[in-house]
Amino acid sequence: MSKKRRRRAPRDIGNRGVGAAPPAGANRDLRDSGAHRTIGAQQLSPLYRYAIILSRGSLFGQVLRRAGLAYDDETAALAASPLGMFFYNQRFLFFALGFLYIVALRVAAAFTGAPKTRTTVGLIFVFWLTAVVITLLAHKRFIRKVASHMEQTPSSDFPPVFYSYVVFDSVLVLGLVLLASWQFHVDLHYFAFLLLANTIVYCACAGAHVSSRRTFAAIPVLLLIFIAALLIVTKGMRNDLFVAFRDIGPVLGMAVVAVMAVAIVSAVRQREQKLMHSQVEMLGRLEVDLGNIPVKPEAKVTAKEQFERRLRVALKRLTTIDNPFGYRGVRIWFVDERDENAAYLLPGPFHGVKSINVDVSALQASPELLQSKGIRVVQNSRELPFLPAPISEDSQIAHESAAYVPVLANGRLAAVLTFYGLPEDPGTSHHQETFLHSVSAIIADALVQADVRHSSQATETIDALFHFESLSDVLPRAAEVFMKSTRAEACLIATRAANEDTKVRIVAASGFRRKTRDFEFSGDAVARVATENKLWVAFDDEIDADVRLRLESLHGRPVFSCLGVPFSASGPGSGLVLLVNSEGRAPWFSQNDVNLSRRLAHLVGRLIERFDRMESTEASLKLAQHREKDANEARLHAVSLATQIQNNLMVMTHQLQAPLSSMRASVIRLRGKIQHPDSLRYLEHIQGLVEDSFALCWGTVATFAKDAGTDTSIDLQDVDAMPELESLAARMQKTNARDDLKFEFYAEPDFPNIRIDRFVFTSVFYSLLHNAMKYADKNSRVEMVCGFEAGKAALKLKSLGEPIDPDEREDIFQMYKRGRVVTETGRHHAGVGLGLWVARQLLKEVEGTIDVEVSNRLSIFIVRCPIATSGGQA
Amino acid sequence: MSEKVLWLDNDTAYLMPFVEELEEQGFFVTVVETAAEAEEHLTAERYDYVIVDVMVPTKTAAEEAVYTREQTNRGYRTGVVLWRRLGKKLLEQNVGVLILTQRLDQSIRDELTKEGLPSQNFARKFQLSDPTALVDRLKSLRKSSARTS
Repeated sequence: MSKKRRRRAPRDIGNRGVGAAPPAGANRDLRDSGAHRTIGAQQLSPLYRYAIILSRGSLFGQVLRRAGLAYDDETAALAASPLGMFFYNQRFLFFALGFLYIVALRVAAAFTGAPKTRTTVGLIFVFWLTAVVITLLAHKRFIRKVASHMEQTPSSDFPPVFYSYVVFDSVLVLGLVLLASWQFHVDLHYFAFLLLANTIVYCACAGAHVSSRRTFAAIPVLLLIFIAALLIVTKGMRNDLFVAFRDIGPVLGMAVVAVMAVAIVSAVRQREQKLMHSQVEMLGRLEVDLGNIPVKPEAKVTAKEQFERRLRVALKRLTTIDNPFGYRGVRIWFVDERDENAAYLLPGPFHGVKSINVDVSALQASPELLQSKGIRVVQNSRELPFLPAPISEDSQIAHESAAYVPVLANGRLAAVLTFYGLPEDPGTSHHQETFLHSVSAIIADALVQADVRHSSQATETIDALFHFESLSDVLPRAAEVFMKSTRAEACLIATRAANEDTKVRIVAASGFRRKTRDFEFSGDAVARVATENKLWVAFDDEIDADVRLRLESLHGRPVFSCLGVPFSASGPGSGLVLLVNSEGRAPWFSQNDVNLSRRLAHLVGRLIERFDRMESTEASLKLAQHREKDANEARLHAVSLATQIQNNLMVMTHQLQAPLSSMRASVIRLRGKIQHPDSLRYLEHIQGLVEDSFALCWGTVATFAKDAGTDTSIDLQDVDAMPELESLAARMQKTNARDDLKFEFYAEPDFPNIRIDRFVFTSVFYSLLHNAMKYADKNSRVEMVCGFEAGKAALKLKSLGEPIDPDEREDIFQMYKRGRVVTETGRHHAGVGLGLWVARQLLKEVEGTIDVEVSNRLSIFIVRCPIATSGGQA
Repeated sequence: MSEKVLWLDNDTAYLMPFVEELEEQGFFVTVVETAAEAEEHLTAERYDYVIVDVMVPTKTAAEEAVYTREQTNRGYRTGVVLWRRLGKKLLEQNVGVLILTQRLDQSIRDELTKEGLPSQNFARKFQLSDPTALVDRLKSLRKSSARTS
């Protein structure tokens, strides 16, 4: 047959038969379920079913189990090799059927008169028995060998453990034939065909071990033994050697053809199985190589770069010289859609054939290419559709077979795989076709995953920026993320000062060669991205000349494409992210770049918003802290001032006591020396005023001193309250010029003396009387009643005048507190609000209390204090 | 021979009505403004009555050397120290001693009472309103101390 290679037209495998299911998902379906569907739908032939039964498990074991014998023939290890199990069961069947044959032969011998029938049956039985016994004896050794082989080579390969049985069986059969012929003159020459059967079995074993040449070398030897055996046993019957050879010839021809056929079929099947096995293994590795690529945010290598590295390794593995796939070179071309009207093929990683099309830049993809979804295999790589002929240092490649495999992701052409350098005719192997579909599907899945990972990595990196403390640290990093995750050569982030502003100012940039700080765009295409809150994608001539000039002046390089993405922070169109691309392999922005940039820009908006809020919160916090500090300082100052005032008041009132005391003593002396009534009246009035002042001073200093923690002395004395009150009221009427007031005094019968410090008594009632004189209505009556309440003396002072609000009953006893009638009307403004507070504090010192009861304009001040123990009486 | 009164008080101007009354009643009154002076007088001659205001401040550094800041609570209570130095001796000599305290000096009063000064020897400074009453008070002091001795 001529070896000349026949040129074929490129054929679209995808349009034929099983391969006509181009989408990636469909490819996977075909691979995963189609094959199973095919097998499941087939009607199994009885022969195939028999083969399955024989190769699934030990028949011997089954028979024993059915017979109720608990014997395990320990062939579990052999179950991994269907062919091995088949031969094991075949031997068992042979022995079983042999036994039935001997029984049948014995029955036939009983009904025939042929000579030496008993001898013949006996001989056969002896040899059968010998074979069975030796097989059983060698079983343990056989099992050990199987287990050892399976341990070393855990695969479904045929184990090389049957050769010794072939030799043993051959020797046994040969022995039977020769012994029967020479010793017993029994003609068993047809048993020599068992030798032939044994040889064929051996051939099947040898075919299964295609790698071993020695096993094949044994085949002629076995054939020679078979021929020799036939010649020897038939010599007696055919004295003529010619006749013997004449009879042997056809038998020999049949034997050679049978042996060769079995050996070759077995070898081919074994090779196919290995090929399939290694291809499935290769697909598994491809899936592992391209799947589960760990991605860390902020890693130096992007998920896409990582994917391309892995892809390079995977393609290298696919095209390794001793691979079962056969191709020597491969290149992937990524489909890149610049816009709706233009798509390009970008050369990706390659391997196998040195520098295939290494200088090729982006190739414009024709609509036919984008629509082409089937695998094509050509005999010559120059005939690959849509692609230029490969330029390679390997000149042989042009004359070898090549394959064009589209990679479809989500129904769109995502990439194209081109395989080169298959030295043989690719043929129409269904396996090859399925394998290519599978490779394409795995790469398509990996491409989709890589895109997702790439996008996640970028968004996670931006997310991580939310933990930073300052916007000035964050924005340059965000610009770098844009550059790293898109095709941009430079990136800038610009913001608007206010929503009305038509200008945008650069706040961060990366990749620009000139200084961008405080650079502004006003009213141009860049600014409009923010002001109109609109995406801007422009390529080459689509960029305004002046904008291009400005961008090129910043970038220091030609600018071929721009991508402006608006973001919203405090409001829509707060700013934009502008990406620029210069000349290069693909100087435009892909749809993936646009989609990813939109997501990232949204995050940048959130980032700016967050930091704005933080700044505003921090400013508010600082202001609040500042105000709190001021308030604290003011409070401390007020407290200090109040304390100072209190101290000053205390010192002043304390120091006033000395001259007042001296003045009082002087007046008293003077009153003893002067007789004139007018002078005496004046002196009495002066003494009254001095006493009032003294009471005022003493109460204040004593209470303040107590309030400041100084221990004051109390001299409890028995005081007859009523005359003291009368005297005090009379004096104060004069000193306060309230002659209009009428004082009435009433004491309950047996009202006793009270136990009180005299100074406290004077000071308390001075305050109460002074109050009454300030607020009592003109010409009203002031009643002073001495009675009892709950075992205590209760001295009541009743007056009609400016009403006290019932809600203020307690308030008026607090320091510096005055009733509303004073604070709101301005009436009776004299005083600072200390009198009633002083009265209550002093009474506490003597275990007394003071309260007020009010009813319209009537006020009743009730002073309770202990009764004198001496029993003195008013 | 008139009885002699030594009065220790730094507010000498306000003592006038009392001093005049005492002198009218036949007492010879010597007013001193510092404890050191009082100690000097008491060491040099015998007095029948001594009136001591406990809160008399020091005036000179020489005085501070004797009446230290620690003893006198930063120089204020020289009257207390004077009493501690000479009080017992004066009582033994049947000198009528009147210790003047103010409302705020309760703690001093408690201390001196613990140290053996009878309560009738105390008077509140501003409680002395009638000068005649002071004379009576002094006389009663000598009588009671004579009874005690």
